Amino acid sequence: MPHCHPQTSWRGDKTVNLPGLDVESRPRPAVPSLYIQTGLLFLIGAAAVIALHPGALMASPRHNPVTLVVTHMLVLGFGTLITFGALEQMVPVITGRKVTSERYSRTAYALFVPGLLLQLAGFAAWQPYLIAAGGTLITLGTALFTLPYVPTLWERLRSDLTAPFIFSSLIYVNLTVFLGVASAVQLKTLWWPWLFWHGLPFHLILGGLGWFTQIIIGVSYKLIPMFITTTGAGDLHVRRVCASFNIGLLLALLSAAGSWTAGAAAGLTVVGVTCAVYAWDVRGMVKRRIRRRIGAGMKQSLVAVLYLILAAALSALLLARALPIDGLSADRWVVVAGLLFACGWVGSVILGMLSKIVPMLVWLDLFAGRVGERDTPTIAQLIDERAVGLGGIGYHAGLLTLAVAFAAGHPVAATWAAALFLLGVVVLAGTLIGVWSAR
Amino acid sequence: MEARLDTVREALRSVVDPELHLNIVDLGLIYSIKESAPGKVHITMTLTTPGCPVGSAILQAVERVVEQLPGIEEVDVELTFEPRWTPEFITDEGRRFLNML
Repeated sequence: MPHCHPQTSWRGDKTVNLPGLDVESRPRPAVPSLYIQTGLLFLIGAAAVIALHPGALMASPRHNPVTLVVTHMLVLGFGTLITFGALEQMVPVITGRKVTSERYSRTAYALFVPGLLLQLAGFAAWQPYLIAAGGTLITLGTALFTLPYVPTLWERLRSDLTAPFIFSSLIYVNLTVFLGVASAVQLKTLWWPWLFWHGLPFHLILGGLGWFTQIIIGVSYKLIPMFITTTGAGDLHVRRVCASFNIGLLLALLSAAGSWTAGAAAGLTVVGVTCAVYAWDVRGMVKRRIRRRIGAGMKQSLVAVLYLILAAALSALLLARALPIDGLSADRWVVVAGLLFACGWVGSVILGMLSKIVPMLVWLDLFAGRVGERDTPTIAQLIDERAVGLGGIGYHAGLLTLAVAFAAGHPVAATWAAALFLLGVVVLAGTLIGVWSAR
Repeated sequence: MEARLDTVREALRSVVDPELHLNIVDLGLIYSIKESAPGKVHITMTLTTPGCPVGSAILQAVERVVEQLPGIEEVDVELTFEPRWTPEFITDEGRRFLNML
């Protein structure tokens, strides 16, 4: 056995100053569960709206009420709420300290969720003030939830691999929702015309890349090795990935603000290359794994990388106007790119990781004190892996067929594909929620 | 003394990582087991990652399982992340088990 350099000692229930071991600061599962379960309900809602209105989604996405409702249900209701719930559990574990109180997180939830419902009503009825009012509550809820994490993560920037990713992404999510409110106010008051023409790309880049893609990449570097038993990428390499991603992102945003197209393209290219490096790293981690079998949930998380590549390639072609399409066809391809990104990349990663995180939450709550006892179940035994697999098949078959149907402008095919997608979502969400109810 | 330490090692095989389904001995988490004084066992071990969510549960179990062994009066569990655990530390038996899963 290699030579050991002891760092600290474990003394029963006494708190030790070591990440992941501070028993007292471990959050109770109630708040993460609340956020995650609500997020799953929003996913079902979004899939239902897609199934009910596939035709409306094929129209121009700009100021399209149905597109806006579905998009915000997916990115705020599903993606952001679930990510917040996961952070509530994960950050205290990796930083080894209590970050925020349960009451504080519940207050943030009480602002965020009603705000989102108000905003969705505003989109559906096309009432800019309602959208702005809902957006303001969302912005407050987001700030209230995320700000306590900033100083904690700041202190761990050097010592924890994922902290720099999470730290930066929390800044971006605040900017994203703030810009959303400003854009909603702009719709009615025209207080800043620049925002009308240029705000949307910023909103999309901040949210899609700065928030979701960054936090997914960062967390994946930690969770994939844990979940499939493999050697992770080197610390220095991962830090370079984080730096490269953020440099590219800032270059793109600042260049776009200054209307410097070449700079924006260069920045997005750097981000794209960094994502390609990440995809290569994931491939390496999968190849190096010790455990041959990969669970159905983790397969979904890994497949998500292919969606990222597809969405990025399609977006690049659309931005470069390299596809022989125009007008309504181009609009449909924009929707396809958004669908592949939101449901393919973000959705698949989140659902896949949840198939590990949710059983772990429940296991920690019920069985953490019973390791070593004969009848203690493993974490995997708490979830119906077969249902996850079947739900995943419906989800991905529905999603890919829907993308093809949208691209082809085929409403009947889109309706059937959306129904299959909804079925997959219901099975996956139901299976995950079932883990809690099995308690 | 060797026999007693072997007993401790065997007992630790009942502590199974709930995520990987593999016991912590074959997982390579136990770096050393020593008897520092009669009846006093000193275990140096690691976790798969410093931010392991089930880390405290595993450490508690190690302490509990060893304390229950006859002739053991005191258990000192020392945690280290140097060297950092990698899958290379998994024993051949552990690898066979994981590949069967």
